[in-house]
Amino acid sequence: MDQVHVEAPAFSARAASVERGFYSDFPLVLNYVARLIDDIDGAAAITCAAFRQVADGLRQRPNDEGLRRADVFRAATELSRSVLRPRRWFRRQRTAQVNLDDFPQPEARRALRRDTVQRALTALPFDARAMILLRDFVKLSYDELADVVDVAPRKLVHALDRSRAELGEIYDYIKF
Amino acid sequence: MTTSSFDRNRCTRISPSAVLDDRLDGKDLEWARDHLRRCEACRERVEDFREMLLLRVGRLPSATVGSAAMDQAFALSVPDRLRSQGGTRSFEVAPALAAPLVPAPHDLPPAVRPEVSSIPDLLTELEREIFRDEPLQDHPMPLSPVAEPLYPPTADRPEEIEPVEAAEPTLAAEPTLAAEPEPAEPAPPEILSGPLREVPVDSHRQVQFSDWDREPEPEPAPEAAPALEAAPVPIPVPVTNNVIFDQEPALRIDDESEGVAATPPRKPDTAMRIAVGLGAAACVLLAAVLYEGGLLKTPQKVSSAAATATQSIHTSATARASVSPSASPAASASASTAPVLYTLGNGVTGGATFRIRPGTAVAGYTRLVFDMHGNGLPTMIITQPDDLHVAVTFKDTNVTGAPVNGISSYHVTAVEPGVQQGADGTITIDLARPVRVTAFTLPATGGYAWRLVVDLHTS
Repeated sequence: MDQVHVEAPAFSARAASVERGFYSDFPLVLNYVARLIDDIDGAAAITCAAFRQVADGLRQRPNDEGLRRADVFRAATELSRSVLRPRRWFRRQRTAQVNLDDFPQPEARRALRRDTVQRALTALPFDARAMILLRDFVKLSYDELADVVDVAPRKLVHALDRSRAELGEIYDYIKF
Repeated sequence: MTTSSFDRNRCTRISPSAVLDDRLDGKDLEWARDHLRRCEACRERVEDFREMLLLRVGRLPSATVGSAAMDQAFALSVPDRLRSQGGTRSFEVAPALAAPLVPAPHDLPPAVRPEVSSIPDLLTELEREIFRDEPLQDHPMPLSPVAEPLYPPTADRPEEIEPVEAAEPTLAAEPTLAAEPEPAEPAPPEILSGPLREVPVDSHRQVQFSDWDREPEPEPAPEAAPALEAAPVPIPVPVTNNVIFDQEPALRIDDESEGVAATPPRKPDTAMRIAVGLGAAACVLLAAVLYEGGLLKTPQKVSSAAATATQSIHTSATARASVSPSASPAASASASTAPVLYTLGNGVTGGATFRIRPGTAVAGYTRLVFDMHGNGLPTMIITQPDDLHVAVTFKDTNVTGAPVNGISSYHVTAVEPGVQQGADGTITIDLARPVRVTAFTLPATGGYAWRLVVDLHTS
């Protein structure tokens, strides 16, 4: 009886932590994915899948920790990469669309399409785009960013330098 | 950590990301600060990165997600075992705003002049900083919206011509008027409770000369007033003298030149100015004619300093060719010997270059965009007569209408005004340092005109 009495609050504490983490991070991850794949309509499905993947992985964790931001962003990045990968005839299945209430609003969709910075970001390679968005838009720390993109922190500076310089050149080219 | 190597044209000892993301410490940080203090190229790169990242990527708008959508996504994302244990949400999520946080896209006017818009551009300040540009003439700074106070109409008073003695008590009474009690608390502007202060203005007041003014005064000041009242004798009062500032230094030349022969009306002042202006114009014309005739040519073999002087003369002669359209053989010979870098265009005639835009904030190169009216691209020849000049010749095109004020950058000192030689127009770019020139053309698309793009890279 004592054990049951002790374990029950631990499970609910994890659930509360997951819930809190989800509600605080979901809009940010959703916007990140929308900018990463340049498609706000397909972002909801990828974001939900990323959260689902991380929440499923919590089963293997012994302690009561909730959703880790870096894990969620890592899953979202990998799912986005797989969505953007060129399709072959034998890999035709599409990701399931998720329709959320009142999302995306038409203004948001239009703004994403007409944003010059977004167009410059879209012209970047996927890894460079992800790195810039995670560092400058999501504002992850270097350690979290290294965890997400799987690059050593001391190499991140040069990788970010190259990506940012490339973004600046593209932006200057297309801004007219 | 502090070095970067992707850019070969400039100093790349500083990695902007390391500086901006605070990845330096200790000696690295001190060295980076010291280097940034001295190296302009690195400083510009860091500023470029900061502007790009902090002002643009860092402030990208985010789409809002409503609470209903969040609940729906939560139900889809989190497994049942975690959701059921969590029970209902223990906090409230703010509903989605009716108006999204994403700012409405800027509705630009139909792109007649794309860079002209009332929407504040985040890049403008940086571009001004880089190009040190003075505001364009056709974009005046808006006046600050200060509401003008409402004054009640002043009472009609018959204009009185008073003698000078009568003006003194009026002036003496002015402080009493000004010292009238005003309401202690500031009243709203539409309610004018207290009487307005009235400032007497006497346009017939006698001019007061200062001590340094050596103007020969006919009589001392107290006796001037009766002379004004009598008025049969013309008083030598300078018409242009300023009562408020009580000095007029421009008249000194006139006084000294005239000496004793100063007659009461000061009309020769204007005549002298006109004469001096005509003389200066004649000198300039004479110099131009002499130069064009080859009479002012300097010897070629002097020294390096003389060579630079010759270059500057060449430049000014190019600019002066608009005065005398007959191009001299020497000028045409020097133009023909300049190496031709590019020949672009489709040979369309009758167009006009109406604008030059400095087009990039990247410090690695300077982009100049020449916008042209017309049915197509004229033949454009880009030549480089020397290391510090690039000339763009537009065949059968008018270039005199393009404003060139304030175009300067790391590579460009200035752009000289367009010079029209017959049907052809030439625009000369004065360079601050030797550059590598690349150029290409763009067709008229959308609201954009035909364009010639000249990029000046650091060589």
